[in-house]
Amino acid sequence: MVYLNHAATTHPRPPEVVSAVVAALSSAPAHPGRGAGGQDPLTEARLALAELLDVDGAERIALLPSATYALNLAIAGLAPQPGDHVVTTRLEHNSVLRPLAHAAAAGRLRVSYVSPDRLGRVSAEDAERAIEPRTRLVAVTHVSNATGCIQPIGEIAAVAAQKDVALLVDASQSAGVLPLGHRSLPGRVFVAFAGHKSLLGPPGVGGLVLADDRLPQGVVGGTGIRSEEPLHPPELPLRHEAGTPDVPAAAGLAAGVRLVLARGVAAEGARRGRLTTRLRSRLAATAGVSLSPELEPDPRAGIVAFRLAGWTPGDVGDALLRSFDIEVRAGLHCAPLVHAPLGTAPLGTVRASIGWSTTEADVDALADAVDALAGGGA
Amino acid sequence: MVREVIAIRVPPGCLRSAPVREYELSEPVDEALMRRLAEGGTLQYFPTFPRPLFRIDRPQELCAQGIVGSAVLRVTFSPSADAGTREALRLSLGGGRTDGEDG
Repeated sequence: MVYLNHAATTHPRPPEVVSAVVAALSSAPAHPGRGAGGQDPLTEARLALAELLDVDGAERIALLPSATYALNLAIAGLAPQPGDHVVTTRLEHNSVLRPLAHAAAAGRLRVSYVSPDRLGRVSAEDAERAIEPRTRLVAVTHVSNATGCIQPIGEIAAVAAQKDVALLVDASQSAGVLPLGHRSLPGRVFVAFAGHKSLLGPPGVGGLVLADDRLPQGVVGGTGIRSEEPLHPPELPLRHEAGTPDVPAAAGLAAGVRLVLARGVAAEGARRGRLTTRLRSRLAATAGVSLSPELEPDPRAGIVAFRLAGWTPGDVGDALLRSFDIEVRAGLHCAPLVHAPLGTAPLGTVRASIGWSTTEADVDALADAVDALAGGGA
Repeated sequence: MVREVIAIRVPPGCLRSAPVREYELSEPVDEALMRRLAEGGTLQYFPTFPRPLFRIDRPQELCAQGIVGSAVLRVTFSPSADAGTREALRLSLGGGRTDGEDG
C-alpha cells in the first residue's frame, strides 16, 4: 500500500516506537509515585517534548489522552465565565470548533471566527480586530489539517500578548515538522499536540504545553502520591493528570520524539516540502485537477488538497484505494468551516498527506493514478 | 449461484444521511453486469488499472463505481433520485436486501 494519510495518523510506526511500546508493556510497571525509581517513560517523553518544542521546563507538559482532550481542557479553563468571548478561525478542526460550539450553545461564551485569505492563511491583523474587551482566548491552529497552510503563530501571539489574552495553539499537524519555539512566543501561550501524527507515537497520547500553573483543573482523582489529601495536587504536571497513565503510549511517544530530534525538525520539514512541491506540480499539470489553495503555500507541512472535475472527493478516494491501493482521505477532514472560504464546500477535497516514511515513488504513484483517473477510461 | 444484494452499507466516514451507499453482492461484478448497469448512462472503464475500475453515470439517478472482480459497488445517488431509483438498482443487481435491512 501507498499510505498518504499521515495527517490522520502516521503509518507505519517506526520500529523503535513499536519496540518501546512492547518493552513498556513487558516491563514491571514503573511511573512516578507508583513504582520503582529510575527514569520513567512519562518523564522521558516530557523531557524529549520540552527539547523539541523549546519549553521552559518539562513539568510544563501535561501528558493527556489526545490533542482533543487537551484542547477541551484548555478551552474550558481559559474562557470559563458567562459572557466570555473567544476568537478562533475557520481553519480549525472540530476538536476546537465543537468545544466552542457546545459552550456557546449553553450560553457560556461567544465566538468570533476569522476567515482565511485565498492562500489559506489568517492574519494577525484580522485576529486583532476580532478581539473584544471580554475576549479571554484566541484559539488558532498552527497548520490547517485540511490544506497544510502554516499560520503566523508568532504574529498572532504578539497580538494576543499585547491585548493580554491567552493564546491556544493547536499544533496537532505541526509538532515534529515545524519548529514551535514555545519559549520565544510572547504572552500566555498554551499548545496542544497529538502524539500519533508527526511525533510518531502510538494513538492514545497527546498533551498540553502549559503557559503557567493557573489553568483550572479538569479531571481530578488518583495520582499515586499524597493520597491523604482531599484535593488533587495543584502542581505541574500532575495538576492535569489524573488516573493511571498510559505508560506504554508515553514510552512510544518518547521514542518517537527522540527519532524526530535525531532526524532534525528543519531537515524533515524541508524533505516534506520537496515532496509536497513535487506532488503539487504533478497534480497541477493534470487536466481537471484543482488544488486547494490554488497557489502554493509554504509546503513544509506535507499536505496537498485537491479535487478532480467530474468526480466527488469520496469517489476519488475510493478509486485510489480500491484500484491502486493508495490511501488518502476524502471529505471535509473534520474542518467544516474552511471549505466555504476556499470554494471546496460542501463535499470537501481529496487530501494527500506526507509523513516520515513517504518517498518520491509514493507521491509519483499518486500523481500517476490521478492522471490515469483524469484520463477518462475507455 | 444467483447474484443478489447481501448488504447495503453506509461507507466508512459517511453519515447515514449522505446519499452514498456500498452495495455488497453475493457474486463479484463482471463485465456483463457492468455493461447492463451502464445502459441508459455513461460508462467509464479503466481495464488496464491494477484492479480494473469502472464508473457509471446515470444522470438524475446515480453514479456507481466499482472494480470488475469485486463484489462491492459504491453508489452515489443524485439529489433527484427517489425510492424507485433505489429499488430499480436493487432489482438490476439481482434483488436481495433493501437499504432498510442493512445499515
